[in-house]
Amino acid sequence: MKDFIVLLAILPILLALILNHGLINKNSMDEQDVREYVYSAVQIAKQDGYFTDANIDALKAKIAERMNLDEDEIVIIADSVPKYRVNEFNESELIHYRIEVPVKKVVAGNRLFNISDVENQKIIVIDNEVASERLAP
Amino acid sequence: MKTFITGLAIFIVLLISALFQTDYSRVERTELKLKYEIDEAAAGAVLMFDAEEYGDGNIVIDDSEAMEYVQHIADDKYDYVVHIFDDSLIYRQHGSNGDTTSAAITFPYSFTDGSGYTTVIEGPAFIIEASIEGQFYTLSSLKDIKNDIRRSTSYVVEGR
Repeated sequence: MKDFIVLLAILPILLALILNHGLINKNSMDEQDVREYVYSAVQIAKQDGYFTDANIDALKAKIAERMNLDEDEIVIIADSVPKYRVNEFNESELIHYRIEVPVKKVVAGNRLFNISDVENQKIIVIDNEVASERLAP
Repeated sequence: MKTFITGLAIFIVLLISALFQTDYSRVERTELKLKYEIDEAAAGAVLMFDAEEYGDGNIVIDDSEAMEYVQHIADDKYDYVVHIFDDSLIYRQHGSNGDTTSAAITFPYSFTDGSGYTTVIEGPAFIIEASIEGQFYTLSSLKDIKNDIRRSTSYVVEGR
């Protein structure tokens, strides 16, 4: 009986730790995939000179499907005015983009460790600039 | 008592393993982030070439413009060494610490990077080696051993 009581006390913590292994892997792979999608979208934006609406919508849809989110929850702030290839460093001709993707569960069994659902979230932020390859008209 | 000690032992092993996994996946993500950053830096910097030389069919990279771009993208987040090969046939190396060296070369040129990887350069190429130093692991046995992340990228101009 004593052993059973000890087991009951320890088992939830052990199970939570085991579940966390899976969750750490899942979150890491999700983030890697998001970065890959963003990288692909940036390559298209470089050719177009800016992030077209179609490019942004396609990126949102891809991330939303992969991360099981609503498209509204993904924030994409990107230049929507064409930038041109100038063959010299000119900050105003760089395409700027910022993508924020929420991750809703960081720790498995969070309540067991006294972490509320609100605290148990994070946001993947990708904020960068890239040189346009669009030729000036 | 025996059950408690066994349970505690399993708990500690799982905790160490979760710690390692968290750190390792963070290192993996940092590596990937570094890869994408320097890929973009090299692809963008190679566009900064001399227009007059290009008119003569040569690709000669404008070092000051290219380095300004790389510096802007890197934004002091990591250290880097840039290797530039172009039709001027002068190999240049620029470091994030401001060190610069140059040497005359001919193509094909056998280039060995800082990690010992050798590649044959046959035309204009922009190579960036980047590294981030820091304590990435919580476990004391790894703390001082695995404390740097290195990636390198090569952007090769194949068409004119």
